Amino acid sequence: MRWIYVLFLTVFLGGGSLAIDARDYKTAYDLLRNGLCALRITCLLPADMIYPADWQRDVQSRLERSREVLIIGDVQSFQPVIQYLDGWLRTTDPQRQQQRPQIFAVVPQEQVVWFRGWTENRELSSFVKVAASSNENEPLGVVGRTGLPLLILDNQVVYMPSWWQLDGPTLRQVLTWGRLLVDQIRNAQQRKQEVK
Amino acid sequence: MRWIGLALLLGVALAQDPRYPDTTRYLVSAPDYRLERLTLLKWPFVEVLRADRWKENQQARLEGRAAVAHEWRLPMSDLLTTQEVARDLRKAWQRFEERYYWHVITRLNNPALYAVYCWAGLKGPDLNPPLPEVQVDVPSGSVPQGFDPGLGWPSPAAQGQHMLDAYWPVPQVNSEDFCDGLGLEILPLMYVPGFCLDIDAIGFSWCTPGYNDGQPLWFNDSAAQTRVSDGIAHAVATYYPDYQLDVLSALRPRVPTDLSDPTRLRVFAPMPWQAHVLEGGAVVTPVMRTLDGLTPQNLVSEAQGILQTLQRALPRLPEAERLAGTAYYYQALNSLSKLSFLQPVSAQLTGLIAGLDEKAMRLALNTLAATDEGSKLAGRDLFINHKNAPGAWRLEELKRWFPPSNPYIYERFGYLSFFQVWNRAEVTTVPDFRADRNPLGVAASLGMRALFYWWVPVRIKVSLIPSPPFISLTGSLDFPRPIPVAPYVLPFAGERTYWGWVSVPEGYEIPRVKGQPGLGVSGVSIPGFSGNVYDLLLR
Repeated sequence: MRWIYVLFLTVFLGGGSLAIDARDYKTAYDLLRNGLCALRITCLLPADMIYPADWQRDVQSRLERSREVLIIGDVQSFQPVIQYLDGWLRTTDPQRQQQRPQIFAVVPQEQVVWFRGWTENRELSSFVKVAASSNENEPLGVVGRTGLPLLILDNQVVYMPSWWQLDGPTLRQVLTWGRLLVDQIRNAQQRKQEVK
Repeated sequence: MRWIGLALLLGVALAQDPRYPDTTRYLVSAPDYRLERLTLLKWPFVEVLRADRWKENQQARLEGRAAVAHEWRLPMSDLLTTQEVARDLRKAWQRFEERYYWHVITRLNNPALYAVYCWAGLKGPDLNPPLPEVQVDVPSGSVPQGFDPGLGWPSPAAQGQHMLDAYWPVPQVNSEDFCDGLGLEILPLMYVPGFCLDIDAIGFSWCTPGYNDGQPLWFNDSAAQTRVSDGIAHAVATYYPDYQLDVLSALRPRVPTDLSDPTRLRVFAPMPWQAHVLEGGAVVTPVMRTLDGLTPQNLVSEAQGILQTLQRALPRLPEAERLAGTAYYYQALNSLSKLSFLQPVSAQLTGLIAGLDEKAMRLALNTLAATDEGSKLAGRDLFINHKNAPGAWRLEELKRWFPPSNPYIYERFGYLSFFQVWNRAEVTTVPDFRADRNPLGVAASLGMRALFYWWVPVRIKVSLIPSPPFISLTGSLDFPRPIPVAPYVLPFAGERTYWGWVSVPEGYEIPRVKGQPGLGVSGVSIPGFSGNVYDLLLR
């Protein structure tokens, strides 16, 4: 009986997410999780959770303040982000120009051309590092082939396009390593030019 | 009838035309590994060739331009020393694993574990991994697609070795290795203990909720999270770079200063081709068993091992090659048995090829060549592709399954083994949940290395006594109890160093290497390696 109650609550909250915004959803989930645990029904709900994210309120507002943006996966999923960043990189407002972020992208080999507008522009290329993950290449395949497009801002928040956000302690801890891996893959990509 | 047979054979083989591409680049070219060199106080070496540079060089010569470097000499290393290098590489990972976990757990359980490990220095036995086993692997893609002699696809020797030999409940590294960046931290308050109140006189006993489930009254979850995150960040910033340095120092060349007693030489002569890091290729060295293992009896058993491999694989080959394969090892063994120092065991060696007749063997080889000529008429390279893959390619590729051996065997059978070191990018847990094949072992090691905060419950006993103050309180501590803290098991994502041995048929491609030997890549330098470090060995 208790489990039916839990199921009902989850479905109710999940369905309600269309109406309430992400912050409410997060609060509601935390209340539910702690409540169920305090009531000794179950303490098994994970602290890491996926919440729906609102493009304007969550993603864009975060993006505005970011110093570092990691884009991993299929470029198609990131159209709004790429357009937003493009506008930012080419801005003429001197104050905005000062705050331009560093952009890392790990994308499939054939999509590297998408970033030519940035990487071949002498002024912009210092802000952008693009790594290709090719399929035939075993060591680099790991990241590009996860199949899950990820947008990571300042190594803290993760969004998945069509906008869901991941949040929770485990995720933040794993990201510390994720950043190292992205660095190493970027270096390996540059090494390809060196080793001939 | 014979023509039908040939046609059938052609049909089978057409599906398996290897089409060795012109771009095959890194080849074993002219091995000069005669042990006789040793008696001249010279160390054996091999020559390797880059096919595309060789062609460029030909072109340059025709046009009268400067020569293009295309051939390099690699001194051999002895097998035992490469095993020691493999052990150092494994130990480097084990050190990283221990430092990572004990730093995080000590930081999380500060001050209790800080006092135990960093002040009192409680420590288990030192890390002392055994000498890793020699195992030849056949990397996927190193043989033509579709070729499967049924010998399995052995994985690199390092597979599943990135783990401790035993997961002790105490550190196996010194306290200064993981206590850096830590200090005694009394605050913040991490928990309010659960407690029990016992009044025996009236039979009253009450415990805080959750006490019996092992929960404190209150736990400072966010402080615990912060401590774990800081610990992980410290490992990424400090211990991981140290691991990479340990790997580099394990790869330093070990070169003797004189060659006067060749039987006692221990040589490790790594060649960065171009580096072990991602997309850098691999660090490689040809290996051989040295003289102290080279007794006639050992040689016989190595030859026997090779024959067994062949006998398992030959039935899967086309008939012409099955016969020629027999002829191949007939020749090899026949010439081995004629070596003067193998006189005592020559009977055993010839015993291995008893019942085979030299004439029949020569006939088998001629038949193979003739059949191949037939396939050339049809525009296919059925068995032999002179241009890019010398010999009958199936019989040659089989040699990738042969074990590292001594130069006599290499020379007679026409192959060579390399020791290789390379990095892979991996996302896993520490300890690696994939390392141990035994699920119970995985559960045990993960359990030993789970992230727990240990808290200590309190039992308060209230006794009534007949004199003032009439009440006496005695407190006692219960056994510590664990609270799991996210991420529960330590994560890892990054480059990790693998090692292994591969065998390469003479004239065939060396797997994993890239670029040009000895050049290295920027930012990665093996201590003690320089352009002329092997001058003595290459005399």
